[in-house]
Amino acid sequence: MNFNLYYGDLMSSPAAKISIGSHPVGGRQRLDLRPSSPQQTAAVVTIGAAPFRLASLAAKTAMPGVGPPPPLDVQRARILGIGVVTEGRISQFFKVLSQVTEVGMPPPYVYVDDEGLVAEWSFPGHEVSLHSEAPEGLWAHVSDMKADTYKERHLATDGSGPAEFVGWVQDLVTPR
Amino acid sequence: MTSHRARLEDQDELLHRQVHPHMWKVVEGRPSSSAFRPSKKDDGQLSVARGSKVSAEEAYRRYVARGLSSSGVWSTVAEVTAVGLVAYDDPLPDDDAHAFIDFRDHKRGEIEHISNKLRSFACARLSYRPEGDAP
Repeated sequence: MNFNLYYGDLMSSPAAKISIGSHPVGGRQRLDLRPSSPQQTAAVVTIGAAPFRLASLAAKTAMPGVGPPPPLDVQRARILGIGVVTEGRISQFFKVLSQVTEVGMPPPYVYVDDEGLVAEWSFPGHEVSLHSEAPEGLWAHVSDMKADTYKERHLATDGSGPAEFVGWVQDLVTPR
Repeated sequence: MTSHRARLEDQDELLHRQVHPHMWKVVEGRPSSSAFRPSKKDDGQLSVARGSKVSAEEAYRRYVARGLSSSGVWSTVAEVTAVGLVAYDDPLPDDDAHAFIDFRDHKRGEIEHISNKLRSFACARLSYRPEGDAP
């Protein structure tokens, strides 16, 4: 799964419990997110503003038994803002992003706000979002702007939530 | 909580909303819907500036003068009422034009959907964008 990413300069705040490193890989910038110790489960991520660069992103978590999510390069997206996320949430978030990508979802707009990680997609007549919030966890939302209705689902770590969300987006990306 | 605050009744009044650079989607050329919903720290109150008291440009100047960042001002009007919300006058010591849109009685799914609608309305009436600010 490869996307491309626009992102701002990244800094870890003094309170950060996930270190953020950025280093050149093959002429591109590679970004690693990883906990600085197994006991540390939360992070405050402060991400600066311009200049923005085309880069690749690799997000890695070190949760025992979970393993790292696949490398993620988010095309035409920006990760910005201030967020509080747990490594487990990061892993879940990227896992669901992988699942929806596999059914044909285009690259999302991804950012970090003061509630956590957010991915957004826009389709004609529909707005789709995936939120990783502490402490609630993953939420998926689809707004039907023409019908003026919405669907929302809490995506538990296991269970039918992610599959249902994948089904929603599959309906959107499948040509009729 | 809002008993001492006047409900805004003039459906023609503009409500200027500052959009933080973080919420500006470069490729799509429009703000994220998250710019039009309160975060948890906002306690269900989305800050805006009253168009009857300040222009969009002046609202922007006041905002950045407080050390805050903005990619510009998008304005909403009677749409606030149309999506089932109410706006209240809420002057601050350093900004007499401050008001807020009240999301407090709405669930998170409703808030998300409403913010998508407010963003659509606001994008149709971009009122001020500072030169050279585009990220």
